Amino acid sequence: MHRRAHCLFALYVLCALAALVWPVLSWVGAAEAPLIIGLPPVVAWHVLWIFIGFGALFLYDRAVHRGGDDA
Amino acid sequence: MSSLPLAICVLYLVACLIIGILPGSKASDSAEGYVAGDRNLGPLVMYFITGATLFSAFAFLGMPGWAYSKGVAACYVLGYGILGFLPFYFLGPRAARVGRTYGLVTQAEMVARRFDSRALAGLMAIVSVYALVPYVAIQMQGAGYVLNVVSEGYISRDVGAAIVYGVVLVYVLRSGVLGVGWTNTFQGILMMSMAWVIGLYVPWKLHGGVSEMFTAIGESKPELLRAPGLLSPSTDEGGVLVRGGPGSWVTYTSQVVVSIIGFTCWPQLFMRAFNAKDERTLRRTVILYPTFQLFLLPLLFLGFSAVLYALPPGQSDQVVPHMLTQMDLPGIVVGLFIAGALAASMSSGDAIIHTAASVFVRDGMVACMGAKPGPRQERTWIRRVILLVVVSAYGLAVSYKGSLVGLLLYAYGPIAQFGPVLVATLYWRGATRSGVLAGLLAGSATSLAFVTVWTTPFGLHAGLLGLVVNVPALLIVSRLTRQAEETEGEAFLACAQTPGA
Repeated sequence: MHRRAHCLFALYVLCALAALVWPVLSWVGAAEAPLIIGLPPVVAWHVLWIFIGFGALFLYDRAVHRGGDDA
Repeated sequence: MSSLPLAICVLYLVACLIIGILPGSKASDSAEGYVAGDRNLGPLVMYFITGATLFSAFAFLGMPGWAYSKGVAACYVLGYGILGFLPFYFLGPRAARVGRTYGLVTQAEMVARRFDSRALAGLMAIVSVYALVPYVAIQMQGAGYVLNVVSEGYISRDVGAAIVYGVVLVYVLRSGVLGVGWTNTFQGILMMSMAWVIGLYVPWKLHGGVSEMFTAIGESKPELLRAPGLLSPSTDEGGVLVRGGPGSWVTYTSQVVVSIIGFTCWPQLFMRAFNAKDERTLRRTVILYPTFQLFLLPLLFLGFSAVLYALPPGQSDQVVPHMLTQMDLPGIVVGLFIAGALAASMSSGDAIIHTAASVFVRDGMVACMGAKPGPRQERTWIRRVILLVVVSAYGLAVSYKGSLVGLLLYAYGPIAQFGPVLVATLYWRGATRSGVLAGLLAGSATSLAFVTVWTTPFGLHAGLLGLVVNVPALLIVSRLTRQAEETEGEAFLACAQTPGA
């Protein structure tokens, strides 16, 4: 169970890193439009990854530590 | 502008002084009480002390300045923040366990304990103080600037910085980390709420809303909204800011990567592992950290709202105070935002001053030079060094005239070199004293050389070049010296790996 959580979390980290730098960010941020929830694509992209990051770590913590001190 | 904003700032400084002084009687007289708060900080204080420490004058002044002058290049701050705190989720609880077991309160002490090396403690102390003093200077510049603006030039920047950091000095000297913690809680609440209120209000007032603002910018200056933004601006002969050409992806990407690696390594942040009540508190602090990340958004909006403003500022860092004072806003709105900016400056500055002094004494004098002060004497030493740090940073703040963000990026290079060292200390059995020392020395020297002597190729961040040398040096030298330096770190690593130890 933990092994699967570790693997999925490692996958998230790799995807997030790729999403935040060249070349993926250059594709997302190539144009100034259309606005997404009122924000330019590159800003909206970062906001999306903030929420994904919160969700990923929250779920990983629940899976590995069950919210307590025990590992 | 009325005198109301200045009155609000004075009230805010008095409130900080009271909140910062009161907890001083609660901690023990020992250095552990002064530096680590007797390892008893709960979730609320840990959350704010961590978040408020990370968001500084740079967030309130530098980042809107970047958005105004370089467009979405400012998103690099959001980018590195998304992953930058993650290593602390894993390193923090391990550091807390060994800290509790061995009585450690700084990261260099932890590394020196694992490898039984005075030289490592001394080297980390030098690198830390070298990076932390400019960071304090950034905060002082920001504080001086906002007081200068709010007093309409009556209080000079240098005097403004001295007033604000006089208040910081009083409560840090009196209460140590507990003073820092409780003022950070107050300052964190103030700056987060002010950022959202002003960050939404100004675009609405100028453009009719955030969406309308970006639409207007997209039509007249679309290059500001395309990644990776623009290069650094310059000023023409008339003192008017001139934006640069399209930015470099190499520079942007290397800045994000170095900042991700360096983020957790800042001593003022890493030392929170030794302050927390328990591991759960540490992990929750990391999980909740994105709520602080989101607070950067309204500050980004503020910077963009100035792009089409009729009266542009001369320097990018001045964009927000410049607009607020030009826009004929209610005095209370200006005053509260300025108080928020002061809170951002002070909440980082106090923690960094406290950390730099603790590192200097615990790592430099005690761990490296072998001094053996009593608990109360050590506390007295730390207080004296706090004075020294404030004076040094003040000297730098009044003499350095460059960009706030530039100063921050310069400080990230040497700090990022701690990344491989911390991972090796808490995770890798095969690491040796010589390997860690070689990696740290090589990485710091390379980073420093590319900042001061050479120009980095392709616009790469100097810290990244330092890491390129640091990691192989650590791996190779550790492998070569493993037999000669039979590791004594087994018990240390066993302790780090055992939850609740």
